[in-house]
Amino acid sequence: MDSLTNLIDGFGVILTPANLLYVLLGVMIGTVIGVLPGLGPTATIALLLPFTYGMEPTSAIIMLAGVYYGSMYGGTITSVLLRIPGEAASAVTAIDGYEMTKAGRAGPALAISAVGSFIGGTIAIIGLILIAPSLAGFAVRFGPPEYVTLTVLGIVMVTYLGTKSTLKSVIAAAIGLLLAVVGTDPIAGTTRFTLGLPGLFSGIDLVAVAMGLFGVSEILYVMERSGQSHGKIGEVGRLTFSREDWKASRGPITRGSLLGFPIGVLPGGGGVLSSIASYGVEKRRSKHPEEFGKGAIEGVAGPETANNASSISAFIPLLTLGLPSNAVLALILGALMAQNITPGPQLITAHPELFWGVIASMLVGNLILLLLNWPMVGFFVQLLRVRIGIIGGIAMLITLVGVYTLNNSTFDMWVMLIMGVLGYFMRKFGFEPAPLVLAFVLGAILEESFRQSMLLSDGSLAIFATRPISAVLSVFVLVFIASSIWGAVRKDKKPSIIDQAKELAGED
Amino acid sequence: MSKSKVLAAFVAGASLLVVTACGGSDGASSSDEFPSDDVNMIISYAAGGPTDVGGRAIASFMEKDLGTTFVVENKEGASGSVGTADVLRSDPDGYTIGMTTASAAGRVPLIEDVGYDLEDVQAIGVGTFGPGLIIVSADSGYSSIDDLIEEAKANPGGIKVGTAGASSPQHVELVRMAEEYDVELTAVPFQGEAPAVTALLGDNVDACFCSNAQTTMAQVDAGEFTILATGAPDRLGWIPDVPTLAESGFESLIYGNSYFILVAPADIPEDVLATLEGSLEKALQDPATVEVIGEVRILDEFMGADALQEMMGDEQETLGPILTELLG
Repeated sequence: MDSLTNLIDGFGVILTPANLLYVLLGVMIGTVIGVLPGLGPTATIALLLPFTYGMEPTSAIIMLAGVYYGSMYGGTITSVLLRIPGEAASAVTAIDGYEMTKAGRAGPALAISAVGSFIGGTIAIIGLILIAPSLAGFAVRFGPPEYVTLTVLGIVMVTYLGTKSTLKSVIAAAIGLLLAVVGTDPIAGTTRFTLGLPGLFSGIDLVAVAMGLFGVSEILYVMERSGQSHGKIGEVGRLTFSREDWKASRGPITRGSLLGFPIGVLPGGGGVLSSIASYGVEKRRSKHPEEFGKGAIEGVAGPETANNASSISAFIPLLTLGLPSNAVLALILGALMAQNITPGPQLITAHPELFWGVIASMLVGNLILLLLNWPMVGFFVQLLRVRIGIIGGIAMLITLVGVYTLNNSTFDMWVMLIMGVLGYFMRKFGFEPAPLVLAFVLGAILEESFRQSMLLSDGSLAIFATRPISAVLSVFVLVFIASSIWGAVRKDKKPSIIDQAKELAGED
Repeated sequence: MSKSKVLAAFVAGASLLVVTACGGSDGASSSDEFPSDDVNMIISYAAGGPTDVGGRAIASFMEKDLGTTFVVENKEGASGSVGTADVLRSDPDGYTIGMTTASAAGRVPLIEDVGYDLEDVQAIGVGTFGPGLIIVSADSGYSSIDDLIEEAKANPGGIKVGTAGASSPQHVELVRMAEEYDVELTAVPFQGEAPAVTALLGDNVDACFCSNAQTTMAQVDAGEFTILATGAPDRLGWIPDVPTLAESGFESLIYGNSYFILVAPADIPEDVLATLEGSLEKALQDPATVEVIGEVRILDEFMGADALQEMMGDEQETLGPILTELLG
């Protein structure tokens, strides 16, 4: 019952007025940006990062985590009422959610999503409590060879699971790897590819890159389309669901929790994939699959539960191994590093207040979201009336000020603006920025670990095969690459869940 | 507010500016007037790190001691050289000082063109101290530094030693050990001390040549790690039984340590320097400040301006050739 006492200590950390305020602030901002189409959780966290530097590390992570899972709740609202996903993880909810709205059942759709999200989130938190500490204990034994195979696996999966074209994901990841080599050589200590600019001696700043690729590019992209207006906002009606609705949703919610949890842990997994996987599973299991797409509540309950569960479990690799599983977690890694905390197997023992405080805050935050969502849906819907040009302008100003405060230098501002333009064109041509950012983060770890491995093995590659964990991971890498090539060669295959995801994501 | 009041306020403000400006120009001769304004302290590393924690603790003492406000700002980047350069470019009047490392002040300019050299630095004194520590797991079977060295001689390159980075003072000492004494330990650099210590915990390296960061000391205190030797010039008060490398047959290896130091631009007035140095010395005797920094991170004997300047000079002279060869 060690975990229980630790968790109680965690509540001690967050049940202070200041930290409760940060939880509330985080989930409120998350809900709001979840509602606003265009500003997703990644962009928002990128924008908020510089403001966390003056905060206590625990408060900072509590708030950023709140934004992340809060956005999963918020995204549902516009998906259901307008068929516009506020953020990508709720895209699939729009299908049946909007149909329910047309049938006058928006209230039950939103209510079941809120309950499902709460249950999914809570189950995932319990899973996190049970798994993370023992995984961290195990991960202490991970040395450089294991990190090499883990990061390679991560990069391969990110490109494989990416929601757009695999080739484009590979290209984006390759750019990320190249950017990662700029700065100080991790083994020799000399600088390279710095063009003689002192601002590049310690490498390109992750936060500046992320703020550019996600923040600035998203603002540019959204503003360009700001002329488009959305359709009529559906009537919300009574926010309750009937006994039949609950009976139909029980299964999807349970399965959504169990499905979302492991998918969140996967590199490149996260909200989008888990919600789509859940939709696919529910449709396949259903006795009346023909109702899917015509307002089946199962198609709302399952995915909404799954995306919330995965947004919680996505924290596991970061908090135990120091490896981010998606772009949002890469930014939270940046927030920790800026506080001089290196996440890794030692995090839970070295900073228990942070680990258990964040977990306790997730429980509180999910409860706040459940309570907040019901009475305030009407208010959040009104946010859609704010013109995107106004939000974009304010967000741009915040980004510029924020990135300057990173190092109090204009250098990072230029890095961010260049990355913003790069990200804008990537979007226009159907490239995702996420593989670039993840490869940028993982690439630095990969290079360092690979060269450390070579020092440890006196230059023999056999070290990756003779150490059991790294051998198993190497096999996974090979299987993924092989199946990806096999899939490309065999054109006549049935569309897999991932292909469906790519199709859906391509629509927006 | 009426017009005349505004005018009066303006005149008062302007005359104050004139007075302080005049005071600044002949400030060299008026130590009793220093400090008559806010002091800016630029910390050359990120918030939360050892330089920051030490710098802020010292600033909050000196603020009370000198009766003025210390405005503390972090300006990190390029191995501490960005913030250090800013300090050294400022007016040499004592109102801009920096908390940085001996490495950023003396070693980095040898390797990179950072726009300053040790000549531009006026050391004020050592704030906190991170002695190099050679650490093994308690169950490693090595009970003394001699055991480890014997094994290294029998099996050159076979012992893998984690360090906090390729340009860390400890890493450079391991390279010198191989070159000057023909004792070859394979130095494996990590990104900072915490990952190196994790690698030792996971038995992925045989030893660490690190320092006394909080995470390291937690394992030492828990009995997981044994300290075999230190890189400090003299034995340390808190581990009097642990020998130095210099005593263990490596006379010249006394530079494997991190000094977190207070600096000012060269040519600051003598009396201003003396005021700052004196206040720093008092800070390190203040129980509340010691509590924040940690007793293991304070030198047994205060190292002031002259001693520190001399030490950095020696270090540059001794290490210059190897640093340019390794990292230049």
